[in-house]
Amino acid sequence: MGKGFLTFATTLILSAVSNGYSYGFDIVDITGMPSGTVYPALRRLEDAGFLVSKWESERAAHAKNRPRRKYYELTRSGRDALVAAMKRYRLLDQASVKWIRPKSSEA
Amino acid sequence: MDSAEVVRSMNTLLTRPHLLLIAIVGVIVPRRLRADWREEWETELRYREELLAEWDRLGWRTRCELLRRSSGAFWDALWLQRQRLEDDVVQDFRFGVRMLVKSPAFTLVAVLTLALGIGANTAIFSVVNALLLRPLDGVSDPSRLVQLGRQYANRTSLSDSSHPDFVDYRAGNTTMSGLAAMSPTAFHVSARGMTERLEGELVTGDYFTVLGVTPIQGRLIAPDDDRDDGSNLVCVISSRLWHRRFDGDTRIVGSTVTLDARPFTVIGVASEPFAGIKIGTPRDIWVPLTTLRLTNPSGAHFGQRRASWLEMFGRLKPGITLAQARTEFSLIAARLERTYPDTNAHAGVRLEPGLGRDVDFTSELRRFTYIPFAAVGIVLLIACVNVAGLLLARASTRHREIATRLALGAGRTRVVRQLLTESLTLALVGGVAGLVVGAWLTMWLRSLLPERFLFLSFDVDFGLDWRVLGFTVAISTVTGVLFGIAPARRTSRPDLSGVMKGPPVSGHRRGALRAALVVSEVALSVILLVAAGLCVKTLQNAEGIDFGYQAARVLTARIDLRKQGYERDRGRIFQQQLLDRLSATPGVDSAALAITLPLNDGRWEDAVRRQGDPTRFQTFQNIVSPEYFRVMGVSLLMGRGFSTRDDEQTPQVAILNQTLARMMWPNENPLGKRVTFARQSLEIIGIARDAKGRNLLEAPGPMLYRSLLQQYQPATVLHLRTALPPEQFGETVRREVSNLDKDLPVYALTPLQEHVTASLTPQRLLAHLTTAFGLLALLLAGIGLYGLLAYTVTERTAEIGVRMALGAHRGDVVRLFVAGGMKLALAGVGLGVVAAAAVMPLIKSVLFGVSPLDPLTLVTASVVLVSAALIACYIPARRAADAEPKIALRYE
Repeated sequence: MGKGFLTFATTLILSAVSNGYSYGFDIVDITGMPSGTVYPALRRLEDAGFLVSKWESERAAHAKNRPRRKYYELTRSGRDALVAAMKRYRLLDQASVKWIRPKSSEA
Repeated sequence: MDSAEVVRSMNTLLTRPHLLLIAIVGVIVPRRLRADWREEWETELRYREELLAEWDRLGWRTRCELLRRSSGAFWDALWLQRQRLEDDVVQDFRFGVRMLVKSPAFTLVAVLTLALGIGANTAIFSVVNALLLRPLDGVSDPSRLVQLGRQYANRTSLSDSSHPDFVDYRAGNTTMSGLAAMSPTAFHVSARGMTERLEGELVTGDYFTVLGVTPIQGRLIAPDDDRDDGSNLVCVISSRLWHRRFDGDTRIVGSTVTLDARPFTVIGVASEPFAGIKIGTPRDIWVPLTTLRLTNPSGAHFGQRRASWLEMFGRLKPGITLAQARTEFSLIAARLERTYPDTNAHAGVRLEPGLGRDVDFTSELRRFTYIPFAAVGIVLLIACVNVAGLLLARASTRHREIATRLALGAGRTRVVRQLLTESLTLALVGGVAGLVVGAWLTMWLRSLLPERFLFLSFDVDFGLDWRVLGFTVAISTVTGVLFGIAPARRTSRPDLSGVMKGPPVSGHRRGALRAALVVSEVALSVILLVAAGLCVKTLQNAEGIDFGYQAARVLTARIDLRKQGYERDRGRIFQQQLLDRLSATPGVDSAALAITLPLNDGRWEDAVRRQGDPTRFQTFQNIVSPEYFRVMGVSLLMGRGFSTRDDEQTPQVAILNQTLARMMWPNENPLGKRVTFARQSLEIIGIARDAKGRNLLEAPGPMLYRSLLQQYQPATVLHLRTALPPEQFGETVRREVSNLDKDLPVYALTPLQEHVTASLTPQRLLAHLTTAFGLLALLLAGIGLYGLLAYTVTERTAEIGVRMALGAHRGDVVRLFVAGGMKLALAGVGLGVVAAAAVMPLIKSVLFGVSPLDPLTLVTASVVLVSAALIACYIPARRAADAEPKIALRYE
């Protein structure tokens, strides 16, 4: 994937991650996009170096009584790319896509 | 995992189909990523499920929702396939390429061998593609076009339709977006002070709409143009003609050209590359069908349901299948049959997909292609066998490498995959080289083809397209697996401990496999060589046939006076003057006119009766001028020929050929008897020797000759017997015609011999193809034998050293190896002769004058192969004998 170009959908996903929606289904829920779009996009963003993924520790998962999750986080270049893309897709910026949830403590 | 656990997890999967889906899809995720991938998906789905359960909302609806979500995993997994590229395959490929580069001699021989095998197949496929598969040029979506015609119950061929039928089909049709009809015709086109004869089409108003052709100038013929009274003299010309004759002048639209001596207004130019609906016969002019009422009233059969003269075609509506259209049209045909039993009895309708080719002829041609394909298939098989032999030989040098891999824990599948990747790489390189060889061979094949043969034009595009490329890639892949699989299986099963210890002990079983390969390729070459011998003999026999006429030194040309507006009296004078002038030309022996070439007999067929006897005899007819029999060298066996006195004032006369005479009067002398033919009474004045018609390999058909002076015909073939090569008289003919009428085109100016040669195209093609590919097979088999012996010699160098040290002579060593090789060759020849005897009867139908089991051919093929084998064996054997014992011994 060319580092300079992000599609609208990819930008939306990146923006969701930056707002603290940091694992697959959470992103699927908040963006309303199908999982078949979200997951490949996450892989691409990770390949491009805009995201990194890490597994949460067994202990943390155990404490919340659920299987451990894979979390995605923005990298610095991911943040730059998001800022650049937001300028292009002004709808995302202006249309007050106020991400409902504040940055969760889980992330 | 104990059994209880298995049951439990089975249960889980069944109650949670979304997890089952993840498990299934997970299989295609590259192994390296699989665990991680599954955990991520499962975690999310499980957690979601638990939440739903907690909220008491885990109903079937939410379960379905979960399943829908999990289906995204499939796209995710698909996307991850990309990662595979970095995995094994790429590694294998890189390693394979390195191995090939490391042994350039092996690679070169293997690639060349494969290139020849694949190239031969590509060439044959290119020709088949050009003649049978390529769709019509210049129309939109040709795959939706359908040819329609009458199908009589008692005939196999597709017939033309009548105009009333066409109108009824068009009205009743709901499955086609349009139905059009056309009739091919030639025009004498005069413009800018020059007249030439060009092919064209008379078309119905929706012809261009159905085809989806667009204009580049002006407009095309529309339904409005096809007016009933035929008064609308307009035409559309091809882009080709526009550039050639009118220099692409944009003022062409609205200008006037003369077609068959009548003024037509050009309304537009069709866009490139459209040139009518017959592939290989480009047409340049289109006029409305109804203009025929004005230009040729006798040929305009608009109201007659009996007259079949229109070629119909249509375009399937989107979403409609050919089967649906067939059903609908059969219903219409059945209705017509009931309504018009007189004309339409037993006349069904036939729909054939595609447009541009004669359906009957292509199905005939399709039957003919299996022999060339079988020949090149054998060549490819031999090439595979050869390369497999090379790989086996090389395997011994790689034994240590493979054994090490296996010892280090590589699975056998993994090793086989590695070796197969190598052979596929080799095959694809061979395929690329094969494309080059194929293009070259296609050019050669094309040079063997005449411009046209019967109704088939070879003036078509033989170039590469995606079909040819796809074919080449496909056979390369199959080839790669074919020659790679046996060596790969064999190589990946070495005796580990033995190999690791030291140099390979001479593998007896591997040697046996290689020997079997060589025997089989020798046998395959024998089959091809026998086929070649039989086909060459067939061609020789066919060329040696007595046609009943002398084809050499006869020039033929066509002249059509009707299209130039000549009426009968003027036409007669012209014909007489032309014959007089040409006969007086130095170097011209004699000149005559006839309505058809001897090789075109089928078009003029009618029934003849003995006068006063209703028995009908179907016969061909030719209408000829008095000198015809002399020009053609057809001798008269009884009676006399036509003379200048047999004209319209004297009683009508006829000459029969032997076959017709025998049919009508088996035991009597027919001279002086009378026959009824075409409602006229004719007296028989002579019996001519039989002459062969279109098919030179068949017995001559019945023929009735009439005098052109008694039965005027405006469209004739000029026959000129010359004292010098006939090609030199082309200009003379043009000059003499032009002296009489400078606007009259002379066309189809060809020596008669060329027509004869063209009619033997299938035989010539088969003879050349089988010979070329037979020799190729011989060469490859020789290389295979040579390779095997050369390898054996290397392997047994030490042994040779010992033998020579112990006093063996060079001759002994040579004999040893030659005997070993020849044993295989002879086994192959024996097997091949038996196989050929079994297979050759299959091609009996294409042979002429030679038995499929012709002993001389079998013996010749065997001798050729044995001699080639001797050479292939002698060279490595000689090298073995040249070895210095000391050096040879050191080899160990």
